Amino acid sequence: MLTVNVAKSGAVNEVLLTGELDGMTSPQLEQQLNRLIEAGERRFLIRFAALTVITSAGLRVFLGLAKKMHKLGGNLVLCEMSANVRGVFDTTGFSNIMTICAAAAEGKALLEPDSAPAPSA
Amino acid sequence: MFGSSGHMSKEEAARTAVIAGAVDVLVTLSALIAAHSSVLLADFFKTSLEFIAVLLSWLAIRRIVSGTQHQFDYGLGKLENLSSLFVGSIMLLGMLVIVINAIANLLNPSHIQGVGVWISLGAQIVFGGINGALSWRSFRTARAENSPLLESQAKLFFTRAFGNVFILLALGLSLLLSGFSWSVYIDPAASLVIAASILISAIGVLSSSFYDLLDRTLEETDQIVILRELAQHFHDYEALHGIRSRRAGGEVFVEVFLEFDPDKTMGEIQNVADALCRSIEAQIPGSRVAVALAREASH
Repeated sequence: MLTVNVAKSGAVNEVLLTGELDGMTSPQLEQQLNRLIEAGERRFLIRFAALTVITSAGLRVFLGLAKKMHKLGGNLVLCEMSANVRGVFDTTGFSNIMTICAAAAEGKALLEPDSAPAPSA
Repeated sequence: MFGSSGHMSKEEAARTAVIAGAVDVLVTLSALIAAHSSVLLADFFKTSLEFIAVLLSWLAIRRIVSGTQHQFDYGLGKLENLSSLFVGSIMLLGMLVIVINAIANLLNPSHIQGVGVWISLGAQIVFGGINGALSWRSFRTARAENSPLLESQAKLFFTRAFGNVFILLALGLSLLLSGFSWSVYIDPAASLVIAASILISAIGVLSSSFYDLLDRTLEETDQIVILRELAQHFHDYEALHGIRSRRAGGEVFVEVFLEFDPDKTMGEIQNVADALCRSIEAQIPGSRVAVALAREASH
């Protein structure tokens, strides 16, 4: 079970993930993100605070999203990861190609249009 | 072609097993005719069923070798597992025949006699040695090639060698201890031990083959390997359009759908694809990785 809440704050789309991101739920997240990208959104702050499980299927969504942002000149920041989730991102090398912040405020500051843009990859 | 030499060595091993099995069936049939023993009848059924199993495996391998040279490459593991499933089923059938004969012997016990007993004693010694050697050979090849078919073959030969030793002991002890009235129960009791060993082997073969037949995606650890390699090559491709993977028997098939910068030459794309395939194949045993060129769907 995964709940995806998207809140627009200025140019930044805050995506709060609650529940489990696995093979069953990752298509739901991918579709929602794709709809936003097709609508022209280019700044995403993904909040992991309430995410309890992430599998390879979930990781794949972020790899695809990171590539899209890189290609489209957008920005992606991931934040509020638990130690376990952060460990997975470190193991896969994703933390080397994605911007990861501890707090949401920090990530949001990186994504604000008047701040220095966060490296998408 | 992928693994041609491996399939040839598999075919040679299976062909040798078919020849040995056919000779074994003829010898046990001769012993049965000359002895009229229920234990030897069970041995004949068991040997015949095992021969059929080995023959089917050999035919399956021949089909696989043919497929490697022409087509049907995608699904060889499934064919191997179907063969293993059949071998396991036949082992179960053989076990049932032995159990039924053992029960009949226990209910109506009699001393074994006839020239066939001596023929069988000699045959158990010879085929015990052959089956032991074939089991060891198949086991080594199965480990080297990660083949469920040869693994089931190794288990089958081991079971047969085990059966040879037990039948040898049962016949030998029945003859040596024929002065004791209880010696009539040696044969059926030994047969039940053999039946139990066949049951254990059959369950192992059936469960692993059935599990492998159900096409399943890779374990998380292997999926992580693929993602880690895609992350390492992050700047070498434009977009990730999907990953398709499945395990079939001892083989793993991975297809990665990537979009590349149109300005890249085919040579550059090939280099990236080769590097990605090599690094994933090196980390996932038995894997074959293919990179497919993909384009973003127009909306």
